Amino acid sequence: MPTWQQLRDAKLDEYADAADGWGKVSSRANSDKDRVDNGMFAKVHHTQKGEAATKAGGDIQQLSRNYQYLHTECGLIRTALNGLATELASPQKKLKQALEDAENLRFTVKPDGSVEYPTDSLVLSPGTHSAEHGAPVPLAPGKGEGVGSADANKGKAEDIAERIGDAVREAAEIDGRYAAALRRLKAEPGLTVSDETLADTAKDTRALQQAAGKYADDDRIPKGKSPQDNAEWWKSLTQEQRDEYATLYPASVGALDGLPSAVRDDANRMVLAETRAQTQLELNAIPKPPQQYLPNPGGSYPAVITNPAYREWQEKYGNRKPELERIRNGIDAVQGRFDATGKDGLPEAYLLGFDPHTNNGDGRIILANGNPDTADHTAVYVPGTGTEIGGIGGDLERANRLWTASHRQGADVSTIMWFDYDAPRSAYPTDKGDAFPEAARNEYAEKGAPTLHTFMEGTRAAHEAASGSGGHTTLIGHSYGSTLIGEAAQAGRIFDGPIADDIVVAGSPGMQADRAADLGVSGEHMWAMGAEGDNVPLGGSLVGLGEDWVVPTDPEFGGNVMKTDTQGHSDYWNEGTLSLDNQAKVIVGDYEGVTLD
Amino acid sequence: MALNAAWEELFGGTAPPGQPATMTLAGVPAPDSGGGGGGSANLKADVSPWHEAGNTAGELRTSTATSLTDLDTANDGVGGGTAGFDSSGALTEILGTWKARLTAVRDECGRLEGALKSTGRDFGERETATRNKIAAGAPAPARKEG
Repeated sequence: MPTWQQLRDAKLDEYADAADGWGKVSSRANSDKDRVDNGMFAKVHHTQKGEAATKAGGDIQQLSRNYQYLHTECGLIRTALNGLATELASPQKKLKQALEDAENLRFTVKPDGSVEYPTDSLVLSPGTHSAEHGAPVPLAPGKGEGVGSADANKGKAEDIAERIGDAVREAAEIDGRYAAALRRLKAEPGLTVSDETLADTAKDTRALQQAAGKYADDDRIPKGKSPQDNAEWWKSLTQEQRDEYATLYPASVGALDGLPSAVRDDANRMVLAETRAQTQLELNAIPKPPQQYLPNPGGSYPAVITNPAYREWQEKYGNRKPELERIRNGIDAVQGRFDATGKDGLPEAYLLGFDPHTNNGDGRIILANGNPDTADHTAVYVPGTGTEIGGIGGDLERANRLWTASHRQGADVSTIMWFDYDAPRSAYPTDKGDAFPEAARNEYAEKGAPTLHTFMEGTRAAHEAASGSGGHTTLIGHSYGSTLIGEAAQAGRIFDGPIADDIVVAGSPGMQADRAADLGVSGEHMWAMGAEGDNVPLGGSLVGLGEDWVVPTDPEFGGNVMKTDTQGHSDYWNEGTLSLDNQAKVIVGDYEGVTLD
Repeated sequence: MALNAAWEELFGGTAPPGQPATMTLAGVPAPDSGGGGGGSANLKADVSPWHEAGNTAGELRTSTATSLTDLDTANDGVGGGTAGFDSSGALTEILGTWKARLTAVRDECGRLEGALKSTGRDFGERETATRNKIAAGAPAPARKEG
């Protein structure tokens, strides 16, 4: 605990300077991580096979984890030191004011914090007295002692002693709180970054949110504001403030539409790595299920009984284990895409959204191939029925193929896999045991529509901030994803324009509209595909997800119907097909090149 | 020595008998060590992905070394200027642990630089052929070295 002299003399700038140094290390680790992730792994991992190449790939991934670890923890240390310096400035100022007051009155502040003052009284004999912090009636200094104690200086001295004591006590509280926070932020020895270490990092982050809450308050992060407001807020911050918010509140910053994609990516990757570690640790802690059946101890019929221990295990872990495995699978699919950067020319990935628990357990994954803030053409693919985090790999792959096919047209493109809604689980009667399929109801789309609308606004805002214009955007909906797009397009215009410049739907069961114009786009920017053997458009029109039983592939909808050469409901993104190539043509704005039905 | 065995030595972390592990890491011999200069001319000529990855590792080594210096400089004044504060003690405690981590990362980058470049040099010429074979689903050929 500091003395008043130490508080007075403390050079708080030293903490702020140190914070700058830790901040530099954190930022550098962040860009170093990008260098490792964007190509280094792919270079060694996809060019050779064998044990040693796998080991080299593992070494590189370990390096990446180290930079992630350094980025997060050194960033937290930076914030702790800045918080410390900022908070200590207040008691230091109070103390200095009290000391100045003492000096002006020619009182002496003693080493123990008591204040020596000369008697100032007509009745008392001259001399010096001492006032201490914690005087009996400090709020009415000198006036509580009654007749005969009317020493004018006594009250003033008590007041000063009180203020000195308060300042020191306040500083000690701050110092203690930050010292404890800092001690948490030590590095584990060695080069390994274990799951335990990453899970601790998440705990450290929460601990510092508590400790430094006064300094870096998450209330200042906009909530429920428009993406333009979010972008403005971000612009209003200093670089250091941005870095601090991103490391202290990565989940909030990563989810904020309108912020630069690179910022959201860094924040979400942090959350992803920590969630992966926490999930794996929880899975590791689940014991193997005991044997399900035991021989019947009570006789020969029935021959076996259910093991009570198994039943207990089922109650405890039966739901949790598959849930955790689902989350882990989703994270691994995202990590797989990260690792594929550089393979087959795939560009760097931007994780624009990650939350395994939201959307009624379906989760949220938003991943861009290439930077959408600077791309000339951005396509957003919205998956359909049955989508959930555990099976997101196939949808990520579709966005990859969209990127490869449209990039091949010679354009600067970014393709985004957007999954951020509670998707219906069943597509047709009896699917997943539902007599009436969930996808026949439009409420899933109604709920998800505002989120998609805001995301598209954010994409536009971030593009304008980075490139000065909105760029060309295409929304692509598969199956029920097209129904969601229909709802979102009718939720309102963005920047006085339609939700996207072009809308493409594949296997659409209806868009809650009976003509393209209702979606804010003219018919020439509406593109629909219905492959041979894809029964969803017909099924959708029967249950009325369109309006007046009209689906986008119907002529009366008023859009273009593109020719397909794929079969069924799920092959529109097969490589080397016209179905995929047509989408790529729309994405890059080569409308002449599209083959119509 | 079979190529895979050579990699195993570079990446597997197992030292040959009689040598400390660090010898294999730091002492990756250049095949043309008789030619002098560590074969940097060779590296320029070879554009294999492994070499590029090795170069990145080298740059990361430099970058991480800079971070080490930054931490030292930044924390220099803290002890003297803030006597009596427990936070300063805490900072000193954790500073040591992060310097150790950064040192380990820096050294790992150095090790990877050498190992990746050396491996790249070994099979750089056959790189394209191997990649094609892998793309076709064939196993990587095991090559004997002279």
